[in-house]
Amino acid sequence: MPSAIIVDDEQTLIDYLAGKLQQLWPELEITGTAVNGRQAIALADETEPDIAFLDIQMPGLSGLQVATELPADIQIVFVTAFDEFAVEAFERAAVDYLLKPVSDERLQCTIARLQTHQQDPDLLAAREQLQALLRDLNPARSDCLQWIRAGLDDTTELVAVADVVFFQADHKYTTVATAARDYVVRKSIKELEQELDPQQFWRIHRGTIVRVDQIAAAKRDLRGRFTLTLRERPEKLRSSQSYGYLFKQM
Amino acid sequence: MHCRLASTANLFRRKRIHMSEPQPQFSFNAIDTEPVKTFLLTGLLCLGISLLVVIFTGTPFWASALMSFSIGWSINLSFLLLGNLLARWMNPYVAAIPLTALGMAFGLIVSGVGIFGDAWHFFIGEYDTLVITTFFGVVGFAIFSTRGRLADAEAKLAKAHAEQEKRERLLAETELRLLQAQIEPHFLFNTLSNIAGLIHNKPDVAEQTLLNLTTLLRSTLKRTRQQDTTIAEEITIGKAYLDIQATRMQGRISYDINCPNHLQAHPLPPLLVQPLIENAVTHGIEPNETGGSIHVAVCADNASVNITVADTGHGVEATQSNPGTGTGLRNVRERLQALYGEAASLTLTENKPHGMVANLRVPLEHSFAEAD
Repeated sequence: MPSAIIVDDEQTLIDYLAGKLQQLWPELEITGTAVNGRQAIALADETEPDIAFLDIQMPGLSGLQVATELPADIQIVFVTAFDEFAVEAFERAAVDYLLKPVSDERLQCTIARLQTHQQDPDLLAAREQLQALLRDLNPARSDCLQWIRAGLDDTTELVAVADVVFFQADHKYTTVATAARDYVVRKSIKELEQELDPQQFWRIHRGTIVRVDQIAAAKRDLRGRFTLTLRERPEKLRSSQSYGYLFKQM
Repeated sequence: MHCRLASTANLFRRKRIHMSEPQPQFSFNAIDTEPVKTFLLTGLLCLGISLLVVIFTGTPFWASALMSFSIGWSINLSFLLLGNLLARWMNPYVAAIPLTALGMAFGLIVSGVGIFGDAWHFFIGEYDTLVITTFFGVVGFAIFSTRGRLADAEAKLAKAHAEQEKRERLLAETELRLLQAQIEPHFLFNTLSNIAGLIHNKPDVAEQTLLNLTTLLRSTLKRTRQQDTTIAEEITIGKAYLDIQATRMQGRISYDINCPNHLQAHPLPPLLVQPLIENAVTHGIEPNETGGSIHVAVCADNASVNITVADTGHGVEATQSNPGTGTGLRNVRERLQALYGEAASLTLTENKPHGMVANLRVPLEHSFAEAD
C-alpha cells in the first residue's frame, strides 16, 4: 500500500489535503504530517514514505530545501499558493505540483501521475534532474549581511542592506549612505566587504564599496580611474586604478 | 468611526514642497534669452520717444529718430556684449548703470556724427539733450529690468512646478507599488485555501476569515480613491489582516493593538501602517518556527504621532529571510518623504530579546494636540 507524508505550515491545509486524498485515493496511507521543514525531514526518516507533499513557503527550511534532503526514491509533489518562478521551473522539468486551493480535478491528475510513476524505471534520473533544478531555484542560503546595526547616540537603528547606496570609510568608522540619509557603523570597509554579497556590492576604492545597481554611469579619466555617478545620491565616487578592471566592460 | 473623504487640497496642505531658494540674481535675461525681441521692443520705445521729442521740441523727425534709435540700440548692444562680463564682478543692478551710460555715450557720439558731423556735439554745449536722454535712459532701464525680473520669476515658477510634478509622480508610483504589494498573491491564495479547508469542519471560523478577507480587500479598493483615512480605520484593516494570519498560523502568532481614544480619528494617509504590520508578520513571525507576537501602539507627543509596530519574531540574526526583505519598508519611506519631507520618519530598531521595532512618526494635526 502506498504511503505519503504531508508537510505544510498551516494545519488547516494539511487536514484539507489529507481529506481530499482520502476521498480520491483511499488506498493511500497518510503516515504523518509536519508543519515545518526540519520536522518533515525527521518524519521522512522515520516513516520512509513513498510520496511527500511539500508546501514551498515554510518557516525554517523551505519545501524546496526539504526536497533536496529527502532520499531520492521518495516522489515529491510541491504544493504552493502562488509561486510563479517555481511553477514555471516545475513545468519545464516535469515535476509535479499542486496549486492551493487544490481542486479535485487537478488532484486526480496528480494521483494518476503518481500511480504511473511508481513503475517508472527512470525515476532516479528524473530525481537527479530535480535536484539540479532545485539548486538553481534555491541557491545556497546566502550568509550575506541583510541588516546593519547603525549606532545613533544611545539607540541602534537597523538599516536594510538593500537600501544602502554606498559605504565610505571615515577614520575609524564607516559611513553608510542610503537614499534618504547617512548612518555610521563601527565596522571597517574590509570587514563589510567580506560580509556583503559580492554580486551586489563592489569595492571600488580602498575606502569605498558601492551597490552595483546604484551606479548610473562610470566615466574614465586619463589615468584609468573611474568617476561614478549614482542613481539615488548626488555624490560622485571615485574608483582607484586597481579596481578599474570592474568597469572595463561598461 | 467617521470616514473622512479628504480633498486633494488637504493632501497638498500636508505636503511640504521643497523649492530651491530663489537666487537673488538678476540676469540680463531679456537680452540674453530673447535678443531679437528685446531689440524690437527697444525700437518701439525709441519710436515713441522720438515722436514725443518731435511734438514737444519741434526737432525734425529724422534727427530725433536717429538719435533715439542710436542711443536705444547702443544701450541694448552694451548690455548684450558686456552685461554678463560685468555682472560677474558686481551686483547686476549696479552694473546696469555703467552699461547704460556707455550705451548712451556711444549713441550720442553716433547721433552727433549723423546730425551735426561732430562726434562730440552733444557733450559740449547741448546739455538739455543730455538731460532728456538720461531721463529716457532711466525710464528704459526701469522697463527692461522689470521685464528681466518677470522672466526670472517665471523661470523659477516653472522650475517649482516641475519639481512639484516630479514629487507627485513619485507619490503616485510608490502608491501603486504599495497597492500591488498589498494584495500579495501568496497571502490571498493561502487564505482562500484556508477558507476551503475550514468550510466543512469549522464553518464559523471559515465565515469569520471570509469576512476579514472582505474587509481587507474592500479597504484596498477603497483606498485607491481615498486620499486620507484615520488611524482607527487603519487599525481595523490591520486587525482583519492579523486575524487572518492568526487563523492561518494557529497559535504561532498573537497580537495586540493599543490606540488612545483621542487619537482614533486622527487623519493618516493610507498604506503607511499596513505595510509595517505585514512586514512584521512576513519577515518576523512567519519565517520563525516558534512564531511570536505583534504589538501595535499609537501615541503622540506635542509635535507628532508615533506608531510603533513591534514583533518578537525572527530578528536580524536569523540566517533565513523571506524574499523581499526591506522593500516594503523602502516604499513606506519613499512615500513619507513625498508626503511630508523631513517632518516624518520611519526608523527600525531591534526588539529585545529578538525581533524588530518599526517606528513611524508623522506630524500631529493641531486639533488633536491638547487632549492627553
